[in-house]
Amino acid sequence: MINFFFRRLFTFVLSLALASFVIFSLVEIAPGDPASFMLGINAQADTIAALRSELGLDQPKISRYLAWISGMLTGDFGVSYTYRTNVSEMVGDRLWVSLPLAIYALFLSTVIALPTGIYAAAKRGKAGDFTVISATQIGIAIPNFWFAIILVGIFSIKLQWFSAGGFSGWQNGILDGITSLTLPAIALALPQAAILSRIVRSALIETLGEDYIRTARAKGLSSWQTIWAHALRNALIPVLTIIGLQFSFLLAGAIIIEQVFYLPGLGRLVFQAITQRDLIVVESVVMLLVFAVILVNFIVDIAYMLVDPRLRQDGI
Amino acid sequence: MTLLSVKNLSVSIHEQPIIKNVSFNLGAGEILALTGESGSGKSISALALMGLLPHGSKKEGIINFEGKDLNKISESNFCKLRGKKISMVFQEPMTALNPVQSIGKQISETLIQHKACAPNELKDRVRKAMDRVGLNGIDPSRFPHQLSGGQRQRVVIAMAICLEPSILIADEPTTALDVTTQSKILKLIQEFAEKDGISIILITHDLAIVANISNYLLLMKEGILVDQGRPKKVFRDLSHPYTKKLFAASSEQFSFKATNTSKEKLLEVRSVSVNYMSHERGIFSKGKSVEAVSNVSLNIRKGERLGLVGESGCGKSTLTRTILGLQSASSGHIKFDGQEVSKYANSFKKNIQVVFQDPYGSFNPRQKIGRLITEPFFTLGRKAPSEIEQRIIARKMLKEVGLSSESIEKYIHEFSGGQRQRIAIARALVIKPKLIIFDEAVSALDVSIRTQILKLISNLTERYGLSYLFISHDLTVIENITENCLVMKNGKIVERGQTKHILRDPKNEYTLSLINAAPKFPKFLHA
Amino acid sequence: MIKSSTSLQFGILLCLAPLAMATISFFWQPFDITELNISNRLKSISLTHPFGTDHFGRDMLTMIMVGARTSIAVAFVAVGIGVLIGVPLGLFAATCRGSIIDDGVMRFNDLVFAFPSLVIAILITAIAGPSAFNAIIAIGIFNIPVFARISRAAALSLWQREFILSAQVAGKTGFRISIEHILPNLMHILIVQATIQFSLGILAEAGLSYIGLGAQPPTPSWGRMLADAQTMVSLAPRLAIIPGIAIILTVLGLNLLGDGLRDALDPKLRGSVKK
Repeated sequence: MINFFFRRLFTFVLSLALASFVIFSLVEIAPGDPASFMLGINAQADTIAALRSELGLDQPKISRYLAWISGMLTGDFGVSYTYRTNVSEMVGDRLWVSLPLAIYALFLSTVIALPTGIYAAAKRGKAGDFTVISATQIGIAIPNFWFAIILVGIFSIKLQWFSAGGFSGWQNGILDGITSLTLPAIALALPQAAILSRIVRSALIETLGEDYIRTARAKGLSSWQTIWAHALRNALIPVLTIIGLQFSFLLAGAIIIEQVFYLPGLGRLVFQAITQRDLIVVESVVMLLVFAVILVNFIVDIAYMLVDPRLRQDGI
Repeated sequence: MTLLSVKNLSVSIHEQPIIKNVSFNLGAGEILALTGESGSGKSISALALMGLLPHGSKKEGIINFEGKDLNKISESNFCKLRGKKISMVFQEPMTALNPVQSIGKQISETLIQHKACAPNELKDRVRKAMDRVGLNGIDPSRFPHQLSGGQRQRVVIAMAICLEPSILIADEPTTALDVTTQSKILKLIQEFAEKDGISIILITHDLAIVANISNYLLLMKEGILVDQGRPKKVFRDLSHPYTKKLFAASSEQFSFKATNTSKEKLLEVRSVSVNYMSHERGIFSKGKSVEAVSNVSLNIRKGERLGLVGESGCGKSTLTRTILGLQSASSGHIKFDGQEVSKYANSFKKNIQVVFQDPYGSFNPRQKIGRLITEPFFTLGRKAPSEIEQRIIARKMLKEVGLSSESIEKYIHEFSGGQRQRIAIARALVIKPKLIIFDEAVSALDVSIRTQILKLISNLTERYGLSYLFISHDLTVIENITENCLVMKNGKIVERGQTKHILRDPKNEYTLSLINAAPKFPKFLHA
Repeated sequence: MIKSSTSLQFGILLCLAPLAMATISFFWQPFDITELNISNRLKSISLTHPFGTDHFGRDMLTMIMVGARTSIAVAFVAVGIGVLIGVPLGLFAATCRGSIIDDGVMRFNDLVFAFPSLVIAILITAIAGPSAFNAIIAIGIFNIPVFARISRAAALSLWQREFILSAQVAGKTGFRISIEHILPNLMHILIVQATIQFSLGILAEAGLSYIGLGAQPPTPSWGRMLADAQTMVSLAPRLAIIPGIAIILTVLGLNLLGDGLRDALDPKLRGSVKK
């Protein structure tokens, strides 16, 4: 068990190191000098050079990479080229929008997907299953930003229940914040719920075909009891993986939704930073997101170990 | 006293009739054997009795148990019977247990479900049930993957008998187990009937088991009950032709002509050991190595028919792979026709072919038979005959193994298991090799088909003057088809010699236990 | 339960529609959409304009037809990139299973999976400039590990089968076995996965175009149309609804097609009917 844990930890760290290298290289080959971009077209060559040295852009690549990494490790993400503010502060502010939004959407998607998926699996082959399958089939096909536009059209413009966009912040109370995140969360969650629901259904149906389910039925458990006591826990493994992946997707993939609702989240931050050649922000946010994905995968792997005793033994 | 009475039970799955009008009675403390070849509907009958038929099935008829018709009672009432009054043991112990729950928890589930005891007694009851099935000293907090196949089957049995049911249905409970484990589990089941008065419905394809332990037998064929009675009488009278055919196939000793084996060595295996890296490894360290084959030497002379007997995990598959050059030996030499065998030498590969166990996995489902059985010609390289000639040889070979030469244009899924093994033999023979390895080549087949295939092998090898190595866990097969044999255990050869001698007078303790454990027809039947 | 044949038929029907529209648009377009005709703007649904006109007076039907070209082309090439690079990679890894090469390929896969695809796609298009071509590359890169992983997993289980052993006994090399025996037996899995990735590609293209990083004006694309429509959603919701439905139906069609093909192509299901 400890062996498994350390092996996972090792790949975790290795993935992070590799990822940071890839991100740095990608950003390096991006055309356009941030210094000249910041100063505009009419800037003098010597002013640009001065700014370059101020930003540390004249240092050799390898030392810049190392400086970036060691900065990240100590929580110092550097200073934004464009805004001249601390990147960690910017990211911190944005996280207060993106993280609640991702959690909210994940919550909605799980709350919708688990019951429908379980229900469909229990009723497999029957009308209830057919309804769930058809609904999820359509749900997967809906682009979330289109769904967002339609939601705005109906609930903000027609019914005026929610504001059409923007985020007033948490200072006016939690309820206010949640209200302004509701439409984006629904738009994000629904297609994800459709995917998750299908995964729950198929994982559960596969598990229900296992021999030990028949053994449990032979002990006198009813079919619902078998689902609760035996099938769910075994079906949880693929479901956990998808939930893990969805969380990171919701954190990073919300860029478009943030665009639709004018939310000041992480996604919009990267998007703007890329167009403004604010490389230090791009690097840091992308690294942070990759870190989140790899961390979630790591946690999911460890969770497997808790769910499945076979993995607790060393060696597998 | 009749405990369970079944009248005109019929089951169809997706409108296809699986069993038709089956009727029988089960008395208290009786062992009723339900037997037949695969596809006879014996397992479905058991599931029908348990009310656990797969989705899309329909059943008719009356199953009378304790004054109630089990075909009529509600699902929730049936749940109260299952595990308490009627319980079941399944074929596959490896998959019959929930991998993420401890065995103790799974056994206690039966007790909890039927509210059999107070929570504080639970531990004791589980312990008692485990001791009862011979799991003394095994910690209930262990997980299924930490137990052997036989132990897992005991856990399943413990779950089934912990509430002392009236009826225990055992569906091929020992088929997936080694023969030595099989006899112990069967003895245990027999005890339940004799000591505890539990009625047993034992489903098995093995007529020797039926003859040995059942009080009454039902023989099914394609969903119909064709013969029944006390085994002694049924096997003596053999009044039904199907019974006769099956019995003959199960007990047949066919003689095969001894051919002249020359002194010349064809295959020479000298002190071969094969080590495996176990998957267990640290972050940087390599895994421990496990010795799967340890210091094995054997010779096959030209024309010799050699058997290799061993239970699962004894290393016989690894040995085969090593001889075939698919796996490299850690130490030792293998010589073929006096030449050192190296992994890539096709000159050696054209003289050795193999027939595998699984008739379903042995063929690429996307290629036609013609292409499948001419694949060995690849070993001949440039010297291979033209494609037209290859096809002519393929057609001829198909006829030799008793199939029509038109089969060449068909795909593999159009053939039954026995036919597929014939095709596998045709493929092995097509380049006229000097040695064929039969790796459990008849183990997956029904008994009547098995005999046909064994006869075919015997005929063809005589005609082509072949040598072979026949690997099997089944002593009767080895007895019928080899002159000499080796017994393998834990990667080592523990006994070798003439097959007849070894079976009659084994020197090794392990060989003796194998022979004793193998189900045999009782003496009175050998007339 | 949906019969697989029914979902196959629906799928084919729904997929043919955009394909036909795109093909026809090469030879004939109802209106010229390169010309802006402000006087004709925001015409509602009529016989001459079955889907109405947009805020520049362009015919919506023509826009949808030409937009289908972009969506299909981008998704198709992106799947092609994934298949052509990912499948050989996966097969190769499976052939050298357990070796360092296999490990390397798998770690590479994990690494690509760890990157938030949309962010990297944005990064790529930002580096190379927004265009349909760069959108293809950005989407295609993320298809590589998908195909590599799925073909490796399927190939690994095939390598355990006995017919592979007999091919090895016949002296065939790993490369030859991969082509002759492995690839044909995972074709059905790849076809199904390709339809799924195709539908994801269409969604991704729409997303990238929506934020202005896909096909550039004047090339019409469904995602761009949605972006343009967003400000008009109170005025003419039709402008948002029509391209959205085009996307949904195409993606739905591909998914149904994938489901139908999964059952129709599965050799196990075909074999079992006979027994």
